[in-house]
Amino acid sequence: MELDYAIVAYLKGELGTLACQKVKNLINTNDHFARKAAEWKHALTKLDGLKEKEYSVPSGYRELLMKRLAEKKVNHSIIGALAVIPVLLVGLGVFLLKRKNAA
Amino acid sequence: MEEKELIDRFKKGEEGVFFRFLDMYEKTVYTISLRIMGNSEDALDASQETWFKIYRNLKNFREESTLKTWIYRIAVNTSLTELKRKRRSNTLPLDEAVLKSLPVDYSELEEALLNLPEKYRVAVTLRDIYGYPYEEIKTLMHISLSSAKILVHRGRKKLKGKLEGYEFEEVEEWS
Repeated sequence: MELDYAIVAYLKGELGTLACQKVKNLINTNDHFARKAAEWKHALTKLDGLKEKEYSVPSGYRELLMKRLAEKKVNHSIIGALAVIPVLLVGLGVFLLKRKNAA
Repeated sequence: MEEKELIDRFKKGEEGVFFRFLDMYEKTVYTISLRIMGNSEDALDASQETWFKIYRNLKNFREESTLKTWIYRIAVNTSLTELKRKRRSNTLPLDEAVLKSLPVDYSELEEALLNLPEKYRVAVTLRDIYGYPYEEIKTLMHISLSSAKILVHRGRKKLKGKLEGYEFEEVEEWS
């Protein structure tokens, strides 16, 4: 297993018991491993901190969203209305057929 | 007011409540989209598409997870779909608006993350920022489990390298 991969997996708690113990021993007994582990720990902690950071939306975001939402609603209404046409045609066909048979 | 009450009111047809959800999660949704898309222009489209889906599907929300988890999931899925649809040969450079709003103390890291090639940026964002398990990253990115692990690891190394001033070689797989 690659050194960095092993150290990161150890720090993230992704290793099995045996591998975890091996990496832990190496970090505790070897300066190079200890330095690498410290570097990765710092990087991962920092990365984890990004979870709390959020960006403000650009100006005019809501206005644009409401405009697009209204457009989509209109489109859906049109599609809904168009979907009724075949049903009406079938209904009309059945009605005319019944009238013809009755005559 | 409790979230559940807001959801119930929306389900009963009180559409104005939608603004309350926007107040609560607008930044979260935009930030997820930005980190996946890598630039503000695409993030705007992806996050707005996310809100359409939330608006359309909230009435069917069965509350099997928290609203926040549900919204996260829609934001991630929608952004990944948009990313595939808009796939560019080169990642757009970071725009001024984003550069100006990078979080204090994290600007270097966030800039490095947003400048990573998309396969690494997405993998690291999902795993290390939003805590998705590898199994889920595999499914979301349509790659194998081992590729998901490799992308996350290489992404982390590239990120660490960028912060320390050196680069790593690329890996190919990313459907």
